[in-house]
Formats: sequence, C-alpha cells, structure tokens
Amino acid sequence: MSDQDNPYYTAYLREKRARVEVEILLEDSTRQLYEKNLQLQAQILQIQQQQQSLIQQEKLATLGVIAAGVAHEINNPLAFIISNVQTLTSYSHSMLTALDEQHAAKVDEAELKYIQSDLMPLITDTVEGLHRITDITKKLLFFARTDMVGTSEVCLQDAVEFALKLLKPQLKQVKLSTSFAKASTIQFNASELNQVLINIIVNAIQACEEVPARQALITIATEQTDTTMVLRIKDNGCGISEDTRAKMFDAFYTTKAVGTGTGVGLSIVQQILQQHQCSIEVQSQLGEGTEIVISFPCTSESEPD
Amino acid sequence: MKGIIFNMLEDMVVTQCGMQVWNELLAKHAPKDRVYLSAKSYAEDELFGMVHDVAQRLNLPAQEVVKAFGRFLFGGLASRHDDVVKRFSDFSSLVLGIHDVIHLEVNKLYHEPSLPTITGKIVSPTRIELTYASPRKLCYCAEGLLYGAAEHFKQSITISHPTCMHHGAEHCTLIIDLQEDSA
Repeated sequence: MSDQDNPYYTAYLREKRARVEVEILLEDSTRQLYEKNLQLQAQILQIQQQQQSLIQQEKLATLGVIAAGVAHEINNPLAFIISNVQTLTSYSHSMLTALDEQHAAKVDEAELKYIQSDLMPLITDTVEGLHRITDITKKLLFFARTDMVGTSEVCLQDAVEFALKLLKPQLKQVKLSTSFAKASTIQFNASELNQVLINIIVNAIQACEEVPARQALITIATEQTDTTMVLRIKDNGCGISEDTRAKMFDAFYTTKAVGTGTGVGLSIVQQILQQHQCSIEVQSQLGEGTEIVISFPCTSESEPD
Repeated sequence: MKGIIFNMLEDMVVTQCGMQVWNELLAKHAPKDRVYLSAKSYAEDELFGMVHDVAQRLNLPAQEVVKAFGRFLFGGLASRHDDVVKRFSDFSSLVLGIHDVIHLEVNKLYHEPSLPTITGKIVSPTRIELTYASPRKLCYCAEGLLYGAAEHFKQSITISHPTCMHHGAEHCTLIIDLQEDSA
C-alpha cells in the first residue's frame, strides 16, 4: 500500500495542515507583537526626547535664577569699584598737579594728606571687590556649567553657600540660619547639585511667601554620620498637604499657577538624586512648614565631626 | 537552524521519497522523539546529516540535493507567506529586497534566525550580482531558492557561482542572468 492509499497518511497530512495553520496564527501574533514592540520603542524614544527637552527647559529656568543672582552679586562690588576708581582718578589728578612745580601751590597740603590716608583703603576695597567678582565667576563656572558630565568631589557647604548667594535677591525678606558639618565633601555633579539646591530653596522661599503674616524663616544644616552626609532644608512656610506630598515628585504635577511652573522641577531633583544614590525625604505639617532631608553617601575622604 | 526548514525538508522527503524514508532519516540523524516546531531552533547537523543521506540514497551530489531543497523551500515559504511575496512585482525586485524586506520579515517571526548576509546589485538590465556570506555555507540552498523564486515569477534564469565559500572565499558571488524571453 502506497503512502497515498494509507488512511494514516491522509490523517498525517490533515494534522500537518492543522499544525501549519496554528503556526501561521502564531506567526501573525508574533509579527504583530514585533511591530507593536517597535512602535513602543519609538514612543519611548519620543518620550525620552520630550523629557530631555523639559529638563532643558527646567535648566533654563534655573539659569534664569542664576543669572539674576549673578547680576546682583556682581553689581554690588561693581558699583563701589566704579566709585573707587572715579575717586582714585580724581586723586591722581591732584597728585600729578602737586608734582608739577608750576601748579604745586594750587594743591592744598591738607588735601594731599587726606589723599594719602584714603589711597590704600580705596585700593584694598577695589581689589576686594574684584576678588568677589572673580570668586563668583569661578564658582559659576564650577556649579552652573551645563556641559559638565560625571561627578567630582564637591564641598556641600560651598554648594549651599553659592546657591544662597545666587538667591540673595529672593532671600531679602527671609531670616536665614545655616550650620555646616566640618568636612562636608560629597561626590556629585556640581551643576546638578546646584540645580537641586536652587529648586529646593526656591520652593522653601515660595512656601514662606504663601504666609506673608509670618516672618519667613529658613534653616539649612548639614550633619555627618559614619556613612551619610545629611542636608536639612527647613522652612516655616505653608506646608504641604498629604495629597500633594504623595504626588510632588511626579512629573508635571504642580501646585503653582498655570504658566509659573513646569511641574518637572522636583521630579528632576528626584531623578538627579537617584542617579547619585541619594535619598530625599519630606516632612511637612500643613500651615506650619516643611523639612526636606537629603542623604548623600559620604566620600571616603570625609571624616565625621 | 529553525524548525520551519526541517518542516519543509520533511514535506519534500515525504512527497518525493515517502514517509518511511523520513522516519528512517529522523531515526538516524535526530534525537529520539524529535519534533520540529517552526519557530524553535535545532542543531544544523541534523539537517546536514539528513541531506547527505538523501544524496546518497539518490546517488546525487549533496550540493544538487541542497539546491533542489532550496527550490522546494521557496515554494513552501511562498505559500506560507504569500503576503510577503506579493509585495514584489517581479523576480529582480524580490532578489534586491532580500535584505531589506524578506530578512526583516524573518526577523519579525523568529528569534535569532542567524540569517546570511546577502547583498544584490544590478550589473546590467539582464544581470544581477549577489554576494552571499554565512558560516553555514548554504550557498547552494540560496541558489535553489533563487531558482524557486524565478519559477514563481515565471522568469527564466541561469546562475553562475564564480567564487564560493566552499573553495575558501570569504563570500560567494552568484551571477544571475535573466533571460528576456520569459518576462
């Protein structure tokens, strides 16, 4: 009996057809799955690009704060440097006249004595002002450059003080109290740390502004344990409700008025901290204030107090 | 080697030599109770062993059997994936679309299909030069597949194989000449 006449062969062919049909169904599903997966990957890429653009926007917003702070910090010394240089110019005219024998009589001796006594303080003052400008530009280059990748050893106290310097105009109405652990070195990306600090301190300032009847008070402290450097930023502002606390690190969540906040500030803060193996805790009492506690892993060089 | 290739070999052997021969080939070259599922991978030695056995039984060179299998394989794959073949208007467009269309579709269906590297270029209106490279060196199967595709599109072709991986070349060159009378 040939294969073709064998009823089992007919059954084999039938079963084979059935199997092929099932496999084709499976292939169709696999193909759909593959295509859906490609779509998902494209969407993930798009979302990542959008997130990057939001992060960029947030960085620009921080840059705005930095620019205002820097302008303020540079303007003050610049004002007295200009005034000092004008005075020095006038002194130099008088001194040159005194040196000129023909016109020497025109310069009063008392005036010359005064110039003599004022000259060094004026120069010292000017140099000090120029140092202040150099210092802020140096720190600006370290803490605010956006092209910096990777981490470096950063003094947390320096970073906090720089952020406070930048926020000086906003802190005018705030009573500020700071205390720092002796060696507060952490491993962090300096510009990202600056972004984190500015975000949190600005939030604290804005929380205080919500309660205008009360003297705004912000306390910033660092303390060190064996393994951790802890930064506490406490305000006596409006506080955060439990509902808001649950969502405050979600991207696009904001309690600010439309157009005044992107809603990604704290989500970026959390993302930056997670990337640096740091944790952030929020303790808050509605109407009384908020304390943000950030724990940084210690660098090996840091010694506890 | 994907199970679908074994499935097609089974079809060819059963159709041309009978069920008994396939059972003997399985018993000789595959582990006991082997079943081939299209999407799963199996040792290619099993396939090569079976092909050599068939060649011995038919008293044909192995490369001829591999070529014949390639031709048969195209028919089986085309009937199973008619929608893919229909995307090509003629034989030439299919040959030039092997990498960008056919292999893309294979990648959608099978995990790690270990596809050969195939690139084609039109040398003249009647000649396509194809380069083939694969550690499996199944260039004769590729030749058979091309003959199968030509048959499907009713295109007469001849293929010459001036450089071959079996003779130490890094890749094979397949020169496909299209006969004008059949288009």
